[in-house]
Amino acid sequence: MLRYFAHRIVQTGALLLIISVVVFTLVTQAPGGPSILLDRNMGPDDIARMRAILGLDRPLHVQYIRWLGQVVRGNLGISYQAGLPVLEIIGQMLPNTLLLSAAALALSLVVAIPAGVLSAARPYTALDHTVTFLCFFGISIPTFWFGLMLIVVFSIALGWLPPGGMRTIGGARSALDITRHLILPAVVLGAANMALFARYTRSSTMAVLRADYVRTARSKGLGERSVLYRHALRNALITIVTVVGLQLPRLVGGAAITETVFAWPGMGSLAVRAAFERDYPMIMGITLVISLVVAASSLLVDLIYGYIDPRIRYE
Amino acid sequence: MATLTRASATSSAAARARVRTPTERVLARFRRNRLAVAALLVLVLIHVAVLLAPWIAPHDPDRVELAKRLTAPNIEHWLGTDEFGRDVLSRLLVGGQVSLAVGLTSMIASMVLGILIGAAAGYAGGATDAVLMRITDGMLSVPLFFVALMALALLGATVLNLVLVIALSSWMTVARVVRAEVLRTRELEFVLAARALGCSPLRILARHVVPQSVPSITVAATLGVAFAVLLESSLSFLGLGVQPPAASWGNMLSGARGYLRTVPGLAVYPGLLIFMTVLCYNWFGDGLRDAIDPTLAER
Repeated sequence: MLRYFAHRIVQTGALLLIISVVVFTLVTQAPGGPSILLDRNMGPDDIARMRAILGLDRPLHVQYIRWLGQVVRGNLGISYQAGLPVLEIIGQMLPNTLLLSAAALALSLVVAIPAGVLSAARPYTALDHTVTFLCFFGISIPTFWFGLMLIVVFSIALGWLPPGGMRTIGGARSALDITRHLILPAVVLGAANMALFARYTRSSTMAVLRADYVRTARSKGLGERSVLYRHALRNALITIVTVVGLQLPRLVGGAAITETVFAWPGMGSLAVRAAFERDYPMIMGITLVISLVVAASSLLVDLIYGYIDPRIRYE
Repeated sequence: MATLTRASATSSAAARARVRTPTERVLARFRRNRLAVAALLVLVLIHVAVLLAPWIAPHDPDRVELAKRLTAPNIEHWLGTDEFGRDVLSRLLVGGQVSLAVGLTSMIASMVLGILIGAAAGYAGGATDAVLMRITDGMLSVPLFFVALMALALLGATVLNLVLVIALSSWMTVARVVRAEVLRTRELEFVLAARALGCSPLRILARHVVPQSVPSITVAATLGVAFAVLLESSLSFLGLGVQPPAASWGNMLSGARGYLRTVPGLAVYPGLLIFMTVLCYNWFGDGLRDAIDPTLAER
């Protein structure tokens, strides 16, 4: 087990290194420089001096190694635009993105698993067809449009929920207030995954329901509920966990759009801004942290495998 | 002698009636799936309308008439006008050209890339396979939307870059499918026969092995268009896709954001079109898959 994780950590490290090289090259070689160098009040001399201060006059590989050296010492550099340490800004934004993603993931699982199990238990009934139909809607609906439509209905027409942001401006800081702001974005971000997870829960539960041990469980007189949730679902969960693991990178990407639609102060909106302003340290920091979060979550998924199915060994 | 001929004639007629080619069987199964057929019809309708946009659009889609800003749907402007007084219906039709063209081209590009990588990995095996599949897995574990978004912000949001970015972030599924098919077919007798006859590996791949995976590729292509249209609209919505004043469904929605309170209709139509297109491609692709491989139907 330890060897397995050591292996995984080495692999993750290698992947992060490759991503960072690719992104670094892309970022620094892209046409146009950081927007702070576009200040009209600066003459050519000032710009040259500024470039020297930022280290942008050095060859590419020197710049990269300097950056890497900083990162190893736990320093992601200073944001050109904000003038604050990148790590500090990300530290403020990351929890918001994690909160939104976790809420969306939890919501999608809470809805998808029972829906999938029920439609597997009664295949080809009206219920099953309805679930399948809704799943196609969930997979096909454009995230941002779904968000806009929910804002029109629930915020503008009905006035039940706030149309964006994370807290009521000037209001008291309370968990309830954040929850009210969280509902719409979490539904929007969760919708596509909800549909996908329900489809996979249905198919894997259906496959498991044909197994001999399910027949045994039924024949010894267990109730249908018990058969479904204790015996069938437990084994179907392996597939679901795999799909959840595969979807994690997309969940983080989807968060970027959802955050923009709902003005949620998170990594997504931060990334869009950093990219437009060519804030090199910020872009690199965000890429690194996001990749790290995704890698860590997929490691977590692997750990969950062993918990769900003790027969799984890590080698 | 005469009776014999008649007997063989009737039996061959009977055989002709009974035996159907695999393609016919796939089509027959597809026709029975009413949802998929309906989806195909809607898709044809959308594509024909969009293709004929220059002739059927009631107004010039880029003509600004500030006196007629944000009018409600009326006889002259069936779906009303936008914030610059441009006809919404005409913009939807013309904008669809860009959205669908980007969707289809990037799908084709990602198919080509996926087929090349998948076929190379499956046929070569060994180290080539290992390296190519590691790259594929690596790509799947990167938050690609994030990278796509930053790449477009950095490299400039042109239509070409958009197609490249979408293609580069969606070839992995096809590569895996093609690789699996190649691994399956590689050792079959007719491939061995071709090899024994001295065919070059390239010819074997192009003429014998890859055609075997055409059904799976077709399904992946259909679902790929859905994905590409969705991605294009998301990126355009964020201002990283097709640039105004040129219309695309994604950037029309982006423009409509500011008028959600006053004219919510502006945001409804383009979104509904994206939604319908993606939904129908998904339904169509799903029906196609069930028709091609009935054993998958119950999954």
